Amino acid sequence: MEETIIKAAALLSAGVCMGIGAIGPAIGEGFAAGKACEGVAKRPEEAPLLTRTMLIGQAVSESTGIYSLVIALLLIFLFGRG
Amino acid sequence: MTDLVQWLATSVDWSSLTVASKYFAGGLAMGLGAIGAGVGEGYNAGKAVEATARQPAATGDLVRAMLVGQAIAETSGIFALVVAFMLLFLPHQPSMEIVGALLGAGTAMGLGSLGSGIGAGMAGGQAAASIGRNPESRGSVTMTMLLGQGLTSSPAVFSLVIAVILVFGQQLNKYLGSDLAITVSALSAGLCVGIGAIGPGLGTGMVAGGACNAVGRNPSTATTMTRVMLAGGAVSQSTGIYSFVIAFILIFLVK
Repeated sequence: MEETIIKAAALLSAGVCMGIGAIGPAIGEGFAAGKACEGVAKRPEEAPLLTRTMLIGQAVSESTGIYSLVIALLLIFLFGRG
Repeated sequence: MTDLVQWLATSVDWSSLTVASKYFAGGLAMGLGAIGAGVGEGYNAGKAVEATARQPAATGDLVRAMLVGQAIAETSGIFALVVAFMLLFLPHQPSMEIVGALLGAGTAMGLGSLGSGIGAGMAGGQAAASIGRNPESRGSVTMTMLLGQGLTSSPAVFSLVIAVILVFGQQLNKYLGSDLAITVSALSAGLCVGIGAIGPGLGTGMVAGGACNAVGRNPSTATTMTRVMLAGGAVSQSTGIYSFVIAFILIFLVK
């Protein structure tokens, strides 16, 4: 019975973890891509370079979202199904 | 602890709580769901007014662009309205699990339309500002705005899908029992996809806004800009997709 409560807590925190964890990376990546668009408008010939820099920057910004994903999956499959 | 679980399963009046949670979740869906669309459309209108002050001759184009942009920002509010109606008027069998599912559905749709509404408004506002600066660019700016707003609305669509699954869970023979883990995982799925949609909505709105701004300054780059916007927007959507996947796992894989 105590296991039920622990399981429920793990499942609730999995949802909260992925949900809140998704806010930051997405806003950050959006900001980067918005600035990349402005950059392309100023210097259209540099579009491939700007896209590459944008994607590298976004990949770093994405990392915390992936941490949330991993933790959420661990919470569900390791602690939430016992 | 044992007492708590037994007390929840046996002594709580779940039939009253089921009805109460229907009403509360309906209010939550529409109450939270109104914020994003309202703020976004207000921002859009504000930018359109600024642009009209700068270019009174372009009033017709500006009002048209503003209304198109606002109509799309409104969709997330309409999703919330639909889910609120479903929560209030569909019949549900009383159970502990359906209380979690209904509260989850309300939270998912309410929070899920927040980011999309504001994001679509950002795109529309920047498009209005661009048309005010450079009225000749209205065609390509409007196209970029519509594409960007479509991308902005997708987190609200993810939330809608999860909310509908949770509301119709009993038709799939789910949420009829009194298992604490399933109750909590339904609520958790709603929180996950709802909160998880805020960031992608806002982020994609920034991308779409930046793209509209840029196309207005340099309309000849519209094709390149669309490509950069879609690539950047797709990356910004990724965390919303993670939330969607986790919500699906919470609904369908937890037993």
